[in-house]
Amino acid sequence: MIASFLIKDTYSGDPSDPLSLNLYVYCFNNPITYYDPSGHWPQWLDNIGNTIRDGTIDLIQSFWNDPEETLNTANDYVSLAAFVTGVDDTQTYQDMKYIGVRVEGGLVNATNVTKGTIKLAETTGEVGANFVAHTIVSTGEAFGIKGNQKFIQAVEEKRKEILTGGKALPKAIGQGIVDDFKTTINPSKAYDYFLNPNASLHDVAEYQMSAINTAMIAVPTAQGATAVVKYGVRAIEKATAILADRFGTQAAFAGGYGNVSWSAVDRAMASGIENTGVSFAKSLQGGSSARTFGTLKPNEINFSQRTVSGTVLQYTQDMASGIWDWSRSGPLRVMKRDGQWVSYDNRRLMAAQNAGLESVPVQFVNPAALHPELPMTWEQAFLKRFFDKRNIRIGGAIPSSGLNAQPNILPARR
Amino acid sequence: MSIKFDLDKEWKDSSLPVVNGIAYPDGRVEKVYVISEDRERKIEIGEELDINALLSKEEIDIVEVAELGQVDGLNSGIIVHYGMGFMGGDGFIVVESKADSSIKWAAFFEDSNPFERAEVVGDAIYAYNNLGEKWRFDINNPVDVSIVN
Repeated sequence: MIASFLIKDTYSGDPSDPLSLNLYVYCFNNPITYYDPSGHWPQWLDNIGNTIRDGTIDLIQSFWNDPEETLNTANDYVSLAAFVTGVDDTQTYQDMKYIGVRVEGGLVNATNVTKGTIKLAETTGEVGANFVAHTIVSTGEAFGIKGNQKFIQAVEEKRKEILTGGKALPKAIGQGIVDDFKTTINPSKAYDYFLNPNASLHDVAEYQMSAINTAMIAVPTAQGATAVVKYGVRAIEKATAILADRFGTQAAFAGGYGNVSWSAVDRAMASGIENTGVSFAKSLQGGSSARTFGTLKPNEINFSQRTVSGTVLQYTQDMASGIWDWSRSGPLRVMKRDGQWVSYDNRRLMAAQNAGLESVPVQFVNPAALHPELPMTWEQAFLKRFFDKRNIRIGGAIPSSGLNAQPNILPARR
Repeated sequence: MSIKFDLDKEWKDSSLPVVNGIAYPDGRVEKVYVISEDRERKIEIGEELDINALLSKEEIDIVEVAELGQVDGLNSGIIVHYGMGFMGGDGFIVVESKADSSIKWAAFFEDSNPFERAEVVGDAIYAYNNLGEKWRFDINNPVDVSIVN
């Protein structure tokens, strides 16, 4: 038997829910499942609301911590649901999946850029101190006093002096930079983009641009030296390549995405600073970052010269027999020119094609970044090669998008 | 029209002739071939040529190069410059006299790969390329070149 109140409920009820209009009923006549301490609202609705709220917070936190893994997990659920409901092979589902994958790349990218930027802000002060200390140590090495205890002590004191707001990096400047980062680039602003269903990849790219602009101003300001620019650009180049990898594999950008042209993607990649703080610190301290950033099919890449030396034959044999060690040789360095990948490493590319390799590791180089060995950008290095007299002599300067045809092998005795 | 090759001027312009061997200020070129056999790379001395004749017949190019570094030979009286060209396999060594800053000789190879480091030990220059190879040049007889590991 279900009891009822003697006094009518102060809540007047919902016309769409007939049972709620009976003002003498408690908990929809289901007191075992529901309870209502206020008398107006079933707790189970609160529970659902709280679950959704907590779940959303968890989702955001999870996305922030590991965007790729979160999206991969979500993809697994969507794919499973699509399979179970039998829509996985419909064109509509494929189209949605296609768009989704590309948007995901932008989200992952933007998240990592933001995290890297914040990391940069956090590490700038310490990096500056370590950089100066590193420079002093190098000088000491040159004078043969690196191991001298007084010298070591002096270096450490100098480092501490800078860290605590010394002469080389006044604390106010360092703090100003950090504040600038926190204002310009912050997670909540990023969330607006991530969670806004109307935000296009273009929006995300533009957001990255603002992040990069801040970083590009902050880094040289903080360090105040040309050496810093040099190292910073290298760090950004490394970071950019990581981003290029993310864009390449996650977002694909294989077909033209409505809102983002290749040039916009290139700009975004060129400006990417994911993990710049970490890479920057590593660069200054002589460390190294990963240099293998993705894979391409060998026949997707064009050549940047008309001749190669005969060592390519040995390379081909080694690749065909599976003994080529890419970790020792490093990836092929490729640059996008007129929509076409062009390699800076022609012998290995040619060998990979002739050995029938399905894919090769590549580093996507940023045209505006400094070449690691040469006093010029990658763009300039490629152009120097394109217009090398030896290329011109046997067929003319290399076209902007490179050569699809393989280079000629030079004879050993020439 | 006769051509007068000027090694000092070319080097000041960051250019070198693609000799695949050793070039001297007097216009001599001694060819040095890099032969690959069974995973070993060996040096083979070739013929002697006149660079002015090669230039007049347009059989040789003078190309831009990039210096990656230099080392002071201290008691040997030389400065050794090393670096790369702009095709993937290029590498060069240039030996400059400290007495008058003139160039004593220049080595350029299209398949040595870039030389990234060098050191002077006695009468020898040891140059290290980015393949991990160590090349030995005799300062006073540079055609006596070998890959020592």
